[in-house]
Amino acid sequence: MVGNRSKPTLSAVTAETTLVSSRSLSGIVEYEPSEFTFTAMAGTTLNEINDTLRDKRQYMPFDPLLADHNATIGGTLAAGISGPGRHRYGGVRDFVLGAQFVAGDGQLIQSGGKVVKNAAGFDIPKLLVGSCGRFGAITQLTFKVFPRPQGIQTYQVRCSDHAMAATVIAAAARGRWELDAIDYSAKTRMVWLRISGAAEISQAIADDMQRVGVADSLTRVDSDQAALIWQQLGSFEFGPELDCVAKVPTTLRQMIGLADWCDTSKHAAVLHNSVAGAISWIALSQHDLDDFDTYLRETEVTGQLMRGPRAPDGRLVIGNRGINHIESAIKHAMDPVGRFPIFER
Amino acid sequence: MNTPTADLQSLCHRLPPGRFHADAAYQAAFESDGLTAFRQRPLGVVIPECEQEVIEVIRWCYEQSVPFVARGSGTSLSGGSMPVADGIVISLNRLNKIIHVDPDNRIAVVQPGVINLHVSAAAARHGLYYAPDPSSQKICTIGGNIAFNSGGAHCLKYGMTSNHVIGMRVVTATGEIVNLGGPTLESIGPDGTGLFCGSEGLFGVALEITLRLLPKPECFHTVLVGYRSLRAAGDAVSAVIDSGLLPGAMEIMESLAIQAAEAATACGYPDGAAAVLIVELEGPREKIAAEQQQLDAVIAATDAFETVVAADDQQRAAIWAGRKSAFSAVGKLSPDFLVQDGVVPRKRLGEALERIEKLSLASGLRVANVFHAGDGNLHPLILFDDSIAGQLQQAEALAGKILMMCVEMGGSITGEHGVGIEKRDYLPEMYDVSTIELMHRLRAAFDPKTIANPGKMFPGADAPALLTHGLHPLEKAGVISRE
Repeated sequence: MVGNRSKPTLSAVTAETTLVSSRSLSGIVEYEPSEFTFTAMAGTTLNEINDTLRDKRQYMPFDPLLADHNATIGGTLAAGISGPGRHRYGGVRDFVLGAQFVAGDGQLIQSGGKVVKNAAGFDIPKLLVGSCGRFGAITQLTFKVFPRPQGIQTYQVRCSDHAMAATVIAAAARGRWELDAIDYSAKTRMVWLRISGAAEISQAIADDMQRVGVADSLTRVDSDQAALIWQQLGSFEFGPELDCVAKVPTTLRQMIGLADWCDTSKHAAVLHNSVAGAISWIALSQHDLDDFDTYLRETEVTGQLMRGPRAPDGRLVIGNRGINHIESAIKHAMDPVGRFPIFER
Repeated sequence: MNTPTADLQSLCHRLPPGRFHADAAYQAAFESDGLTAFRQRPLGVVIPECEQEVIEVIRWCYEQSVPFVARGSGTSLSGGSMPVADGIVISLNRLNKIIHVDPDNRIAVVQPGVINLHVSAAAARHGLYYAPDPSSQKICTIGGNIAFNSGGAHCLKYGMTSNHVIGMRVVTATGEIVNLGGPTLESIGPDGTGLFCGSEGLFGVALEITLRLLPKPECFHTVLVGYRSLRAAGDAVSAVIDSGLLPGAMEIMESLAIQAAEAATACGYPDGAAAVLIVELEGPREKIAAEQQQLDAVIAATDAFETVVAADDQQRAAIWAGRKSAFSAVGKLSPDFLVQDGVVPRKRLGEALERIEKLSLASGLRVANVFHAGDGNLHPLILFDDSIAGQLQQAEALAGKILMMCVEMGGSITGEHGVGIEKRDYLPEMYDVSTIELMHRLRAAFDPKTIANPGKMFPGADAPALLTHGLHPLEKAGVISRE
């Protein structure tokens, strides 16, 4: 099952596999602003949902990526990717409430619920997060949403090196300020902090962060430049020659290692770290893929390519395989007839 | 499933001395949990001291096809940690190490027997805390919280337990060790951690858990508002939601619960209120200064007859003491009670409460309502006297009608207590045959012999003995309270 293929590596399957498009499964089925929930068909674009929510001063706090590339809500869940806003309230896994999908045996499954709190039965909607369509054809999803902040300001901290960036990130994330996003561009050595609320409140918080020594200088970024910064990540715009984009979950220490690897890579790979260290987006040339794979294996880190060719040996993951024996048993439970491709670790 | 004594000997041989207990004192001590309505004595109890001993027990259970129930402090309100006849109880309380706290990556790695509140205590010196706060957090364990995806008063803003668990090492019911998730917020591939949370012990046992920590909120603005009608309190919740605020908690108690709480804790709730609403904002002082003005204006525009703003931590604690004591306090009004945990869409709260009132009148049993208004999670407390013939059945019938009403309104049979034994017959009201079949297949992936906590979540298993009702001994002692 594919949407608008904004993360094409995930649906690069063998020739004998039939692709089914969710493009016609589009539209918001229910939206209850007072309930903080909406239900949309899987092929509904993020743009449509964002526009609808914005009219009611609400938003998806996990800040889904690739809206400009017509990414769909189903693809966002299946890929399991969240944007910088994940830092404040959680990721796509934390906001999905219910999932309707067609299992491999043709049965229509209605899992989860449509209310913000539900502890009945197994949490199958969460299992679908990151499953890359390998468990079933997702047809409809229900999400929790939140009130949209009154405003968002971006501040930047210039760092001398990656280690300093990690120190700034850790201090900013641990403090009392409840930042909306904490990202780092390794190429420019710039930490970006997003603070929600009215402009004067954001400024007071930034001043206090500077006062207590999170960084010597927090500089406010004007709104046009801020929009550009966040849009570059949101659209995976890392440079025309960097044809691969990988998501690599990291600790801060692993982020530093990856940033160092990018600095010495043959074709000038770049790292954009998101969510205060937790997600490293690596953009690289496919000529660097083998080296990248080797580095991840050596450091026992697992990544996933969203754009570009599959991993050197054709797997969905890159680097450490993280083989998990239960996954094949779960796959068999979800898809007993083997209708969908397997998740090749 | 009869297990010869010789087999128990083989279990003893696999463990250090003193771990396995089959005498009546241990069987009695572990025969029940927070749902005191049900009791069942197990074959024996294992109290492991380390992870490897847990693995040994489960491998033995798998080889011998003996059912097991893993439990922590036994605070489940759905009978989730009830023993199984001819089965083993594995008590995990001694696996209570906080292995490490990593302030830079804001995670804590803990064993399953760690008490919920101890995680926050360990994280406090770094300015961090563990957000999920079930009312029993002084005593309930992380392993149990994971099994039942526990909630608390702050779920609307912060989510449930599963939103704060990012990785686990588990032993499945076949004795296999599996790693799910990892040390960072995100992982690659299907979210097995998310699936395991809320699986009610039907998959196996979490041995080591990685939790997400958050910065401690700096400021609170806690408001207690009295209303002459429940509907007015419900309307106030809608007004707060429509204003664009995102409170950390929004709770409503109605008159019977207010009176009981007042009698129990002298919490200073408004006299003569048909309902009180507690709204709490939390965050950095700069934001709270602005948001509290906004909230105060919203509340002032509602039909409130008294508004109390907590002036300090002591007053805030008093407001919450009334709320947190409400269930045990109401429980003291009656020899026995049942608590339900259904969820309805927030906009239908008023309608749901009116229908509960009608059902209560029709049954002749009193019902007190305390609920998480922000997320539509009702906790109707059905009062009855088990010494009167037929009242227990009446109470159960009323509870069932309330659950059916929640499903009919598009909600859920459980918001945070789990299905357990108590609500297993109602699971098919929420999910169709295909979906429940899929859940059975998923369970079989982890537990092909159906030995992990059998008889819970799914209908059709033999019911254990239904013996007594009333407050849990720990509630009577004031150690724990209910949501």
